Amino acid sequence: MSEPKKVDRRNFIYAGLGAVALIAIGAVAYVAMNPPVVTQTVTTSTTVPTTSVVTTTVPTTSPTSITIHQFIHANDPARQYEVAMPAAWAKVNPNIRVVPIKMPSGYTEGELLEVNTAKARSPDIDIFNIDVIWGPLFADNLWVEPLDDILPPSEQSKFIPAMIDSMTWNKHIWAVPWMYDQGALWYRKDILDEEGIKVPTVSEPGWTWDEFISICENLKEKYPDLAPYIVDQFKYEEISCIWTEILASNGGAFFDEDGLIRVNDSQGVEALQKWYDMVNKHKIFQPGTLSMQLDPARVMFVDDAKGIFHRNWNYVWGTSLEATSKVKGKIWVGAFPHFPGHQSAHCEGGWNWAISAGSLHKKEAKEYVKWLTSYDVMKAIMLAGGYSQARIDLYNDPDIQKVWEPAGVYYNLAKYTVSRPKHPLYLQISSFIQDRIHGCLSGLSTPKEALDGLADDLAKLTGAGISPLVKK
Amino acid sequence: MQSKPRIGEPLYLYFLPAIAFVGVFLLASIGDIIYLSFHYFRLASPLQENGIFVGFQNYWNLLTDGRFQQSLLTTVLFGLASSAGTVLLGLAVALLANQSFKGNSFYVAIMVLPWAVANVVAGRQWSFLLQPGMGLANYFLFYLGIIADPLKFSALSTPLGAFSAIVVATIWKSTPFIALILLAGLQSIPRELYDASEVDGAGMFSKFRYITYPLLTPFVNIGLLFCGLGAMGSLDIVYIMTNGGPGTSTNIFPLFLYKTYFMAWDFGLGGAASVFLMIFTMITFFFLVRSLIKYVVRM
Repeated sequence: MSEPKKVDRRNFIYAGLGAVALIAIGAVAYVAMNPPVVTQTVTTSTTVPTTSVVTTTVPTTSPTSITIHQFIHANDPARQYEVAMPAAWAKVNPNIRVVPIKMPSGYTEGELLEVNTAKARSPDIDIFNIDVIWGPLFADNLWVEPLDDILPPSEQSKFIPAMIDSMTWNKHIWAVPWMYDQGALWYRKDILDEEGIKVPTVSEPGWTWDEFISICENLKEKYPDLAPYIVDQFKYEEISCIWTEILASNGGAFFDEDGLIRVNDSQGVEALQKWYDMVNKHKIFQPGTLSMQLDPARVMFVDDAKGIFHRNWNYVWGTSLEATSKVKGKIWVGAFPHFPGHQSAHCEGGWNWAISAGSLHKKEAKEYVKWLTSYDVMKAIMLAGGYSQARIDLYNDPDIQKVWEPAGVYYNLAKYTVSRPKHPLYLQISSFIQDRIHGCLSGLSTPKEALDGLADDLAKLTGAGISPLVKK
Repeated sequence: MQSKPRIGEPLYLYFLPAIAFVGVFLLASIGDIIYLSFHYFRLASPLQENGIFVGFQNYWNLLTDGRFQQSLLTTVLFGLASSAGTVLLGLAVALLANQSFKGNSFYVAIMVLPWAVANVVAGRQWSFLLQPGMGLANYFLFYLGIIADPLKFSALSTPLGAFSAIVVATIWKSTPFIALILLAGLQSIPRELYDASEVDGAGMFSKFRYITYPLLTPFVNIGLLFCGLGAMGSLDIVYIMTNGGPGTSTNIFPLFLYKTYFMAWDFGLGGAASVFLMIFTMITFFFLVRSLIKYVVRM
């Protein structure tokens, strides 16, 4: 056996010095990337009149130049948040500079980045851009600031109700809604006009699901080449959205007012049974509906003109005007059917601005968010071709209605939007919903079994009890 | 001129980069996962609740989780079906590639194409192929008499159809790699053995049975090893094609793991699941590798 080699002292010292040098370089780099925080004294001044494209007023400004950082979507089509709004704000208040930071385009990656930044209470980001389903997560962990001061109840009433609801947690409001979306019933107006069928909006009595099924079955016979109802029912988030709508259209809910689980009560079972029947008994959906995702379904409706009704979000209208569309000027939007004695329910989607608890410039960030979500700014964004905004009166604004033709219907539907289950662990809840509901629609379980299973999942996850509304 | 190491020079310094790489990227990660598996750690929970030692609670939660049990069973079935299919198809492809014919090089180039396609693209492509109406696969199945209506049949909408679809897509994607391994094996068999057997009057089947099969078995085992490992880590194709649906019928273990980490953000449970997967994989492949070594030694 050979003897172990002796360590050469000189090389050992060299290696040690090298390691120390590396650590020193790393420490210097770390300090350089994380400069010490300088506390700034901010004083208020008078109102600043604006001369920018957006006419509004700002209550306070800071004499010291401050930079705030805002997470924005990676692909804003009109570049409003990337270019136009920071520039307009700079004219309004040159002392508070806004630097937009693009989130990753992947949803999961964007969410993880925001959650990690928030959890660390990093001062790097002042304004978070959060999805409607993230509100309770950020609020429950106190990763963001309550915004009751810039969004009091009197101001909240001017926004889409469901969006305010989804950002309300523990009786506080935690973010200001900006981008608004909703599930809606798109349809071929040309065909239905010819058939003398008028699709209701919620301001009218509306269709029941049975009436809608009957209409679809009749249309299926008359138009065998068209799918009566095109819906993407792949196993993913859309399943949770659609289930929220159908459940609410029967007066059902995931939790009762005391936070107890009631998704498997009789209204829930009846609602899921109806959905199951639409898929498997009446077969009113396009073939392959259970494996089709959102955009292929939209393409089928818009670009291929292969359907009569279509469940989708607001973006369908814009795509119907594009060159690839075969239904330009032929589609319109209406209200979802509901169960007798109840009303339509439209799942909300969208994004909100929240102020990071780790921000060193909360006051300035609030000022910017307040300006950014003011009526005039939101209107300017919509007129410039930006995202649809969350103030409800915008959809009743004649200027908006000239550009956004279906805005009047959106205005009606917006009053009947519903939130997906509000819980800090929403993503996990949604995963359970998808497993159980998609399994039921695929014939793996009965509606009752699926909902009882979902109730068990929710009970295990949240620790909530079962509501007395659920009769054993 | 290459200089020889001097006597007394600390040779281990040359290994430091490799040791550091393995230490940081493998051992430290494994250590971190094992640590997480014994602690409560949820990204969505307040900081003060995280890092609490919970003993074997995460393992208990894992083993009693119906979705985990189901995903394990699905993974075993998926692994067996896709491995067997890949090796069989890979063998057929390799046997053909091993023949001398005009256009052989072109055939080999075409053969490896699926391997070059990204998994996400492959998953999306198979989803389109299986769509009712526009999917070519439906017409193929229709002409074979397997389905009645290509406009209405949706393989991905039924549990059996979706499971078969992810197996077929995985086989399609993995076959070139396994075929190359088997082709290397085929080309290592001495030509003289076939010549001698022909002199003895052996036919095609006999040559395969008594020469090709025994000499190719180590390569087949290597192929099975890779296929099995692939099944244990297969995520993207299944995620794109079915996301584990319908219901949970194609919810294979890597998907369960992904959802535990990135939807539930439960790193404690995810850590336990990862450790379980590691042990399960090690035990499974210990026996496979041992049989492979025994076989090679016997030869």
